[in-house]
Amino acid sequence: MSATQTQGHVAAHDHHDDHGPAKGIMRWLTTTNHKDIGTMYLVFSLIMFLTGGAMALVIRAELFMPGMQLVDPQFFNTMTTVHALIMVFGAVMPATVGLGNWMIPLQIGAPDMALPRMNNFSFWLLVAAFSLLILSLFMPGGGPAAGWTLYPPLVLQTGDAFPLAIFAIHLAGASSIMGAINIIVTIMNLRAPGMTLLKMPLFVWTWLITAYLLIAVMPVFAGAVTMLLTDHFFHTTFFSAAGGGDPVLYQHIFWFFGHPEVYIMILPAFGIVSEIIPTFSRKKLFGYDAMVYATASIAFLSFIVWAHHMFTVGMPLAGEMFFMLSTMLIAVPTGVKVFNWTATMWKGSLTFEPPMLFALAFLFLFTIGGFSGLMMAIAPVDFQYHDTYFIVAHFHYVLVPGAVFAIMAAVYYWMPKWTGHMYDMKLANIHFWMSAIFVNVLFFPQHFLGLAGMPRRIPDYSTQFADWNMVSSIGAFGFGLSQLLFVYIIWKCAKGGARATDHVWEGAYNHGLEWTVPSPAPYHTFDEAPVVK
Amino acid sequence: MASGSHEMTQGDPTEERRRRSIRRTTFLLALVALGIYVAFIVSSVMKAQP
Repeated sequence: MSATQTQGHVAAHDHHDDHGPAKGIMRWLTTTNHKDIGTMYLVFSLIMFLTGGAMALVIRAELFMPGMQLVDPQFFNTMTTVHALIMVFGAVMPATVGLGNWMIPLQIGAPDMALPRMNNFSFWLLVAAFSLLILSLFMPGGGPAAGWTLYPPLVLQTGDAFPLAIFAIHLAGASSIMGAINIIVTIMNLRAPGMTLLKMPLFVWTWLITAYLLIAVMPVFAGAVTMLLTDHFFHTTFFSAAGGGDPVLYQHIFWFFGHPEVYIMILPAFGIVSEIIPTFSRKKLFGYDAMVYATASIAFLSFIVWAHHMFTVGMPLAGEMFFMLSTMLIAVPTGVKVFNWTATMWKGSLTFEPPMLFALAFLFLFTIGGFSGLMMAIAPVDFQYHDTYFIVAHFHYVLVPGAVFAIMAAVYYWMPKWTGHMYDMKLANIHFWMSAIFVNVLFFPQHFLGLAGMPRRIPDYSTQFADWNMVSSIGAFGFGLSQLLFVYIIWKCAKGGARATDHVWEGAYNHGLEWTVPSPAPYHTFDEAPVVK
Repeated sequence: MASGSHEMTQGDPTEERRRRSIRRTTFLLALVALGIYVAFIVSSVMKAQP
């Protein structure tokens, strides 16, 4: 919404009944302020990112060489399972919720989220959920180890961790649904005068569509795990063939949730990149309307492609054809986005500050993940790739240099607005180059391993896979170390630094309402709504 | 939808309308989420007949 301009004064931070935050721990426990809650979500997601990352390093350390090195197979499976659950539900999703909490009210000219108490409740519910999930690792029989998909009947063999993990998922789901309701209600009711739907920033649009996706699919996952719970404890047989149920039914339900879940993680990333590229190209976003419709199309298509995760389970030929072609169709709106970002840069006055570097890396590397996804959409070819490291390489390209890089780009883009300080550009550039190099050292060789037939979710492997596994593990430790630098940059920026101007980036001028408020953004903003022309 | 001021003043008809709209949308979305949850479990119950 680069065309948005405002008139009238904004940010009545000297309003007569304005007050700052409460003092001490109670500020964070009881806050209903969208900026506080956004900060808490972001800090929480960073902690989860480091926790899940540590688990990934256990996995890569074990796979550094063939043979059993460090952990027993059960614990290895626990690590792959909990790493995924933490990264998906504890790191990426809360990070985008945190960004949404901080930026959506600022971008639409609202004083806060529409349901601030529920906002606080959904955050603390998430903390409870992940405390339970991590505690489940210490239960007799070990933590959940059946993979993040929790397929029965394997998952029903989990020990005492099972009810804890299922309850944790329920709580995290409830938190997500409440967060989604809050975002929709805020966007639909609290936009500044003059901000029509097609004037909203792309980040707001992508979050609006993501929130509808969340409300549509989170209850599906909750239903699936509730049925797992009753199968385990109340002797129902939803997913047991012996009692008239069907284990494949679980897979259909799970992936009806699971595929849109991928877009729940990536659509806000699309929104972030759509904010950053125009700013550092000093141009308006090319094809704004097309970007909105492409986002909506991707969201719609995400509901009709789920069985491409299950080609090897077996299905009628017509089913294979349908899911193969519908999956390929997603490349069309995604292509619209990639071409529009490229066209935005065309003849722009480009500069390469850290947010732009991460956004550009996103553009290239997410596209690699998209292309390998297209390869897997071809049913007969997927028979070869299924459950190999090719799949691991694919989804990590989508989620790490895809979603995670976009989140890092967003942090580097908006952090001066949050803290009022510029961060250390030199360190941020080093962080970018280390991350961009090591993420490829980490994940690109996994394509070769998968094509050579190495199965996923195994702690040991044939010696023919040794070399590329070693390279991949070196990349993992390099990437992990790089992220400590990210933590240091954030900490240093929060503590102090050169003062940031109100519009922070030269190209951000006239690129959205968030740049019209002072840096740091006052505790209360837009007590009087701005008028958008 | 948007009124020119976000001040939550009691008695302001525009604000009242906005509050009602917030409550209505929240209730409807929560109902949809609950409905989907129940519908998937019920459809699985119907499928899993011994």
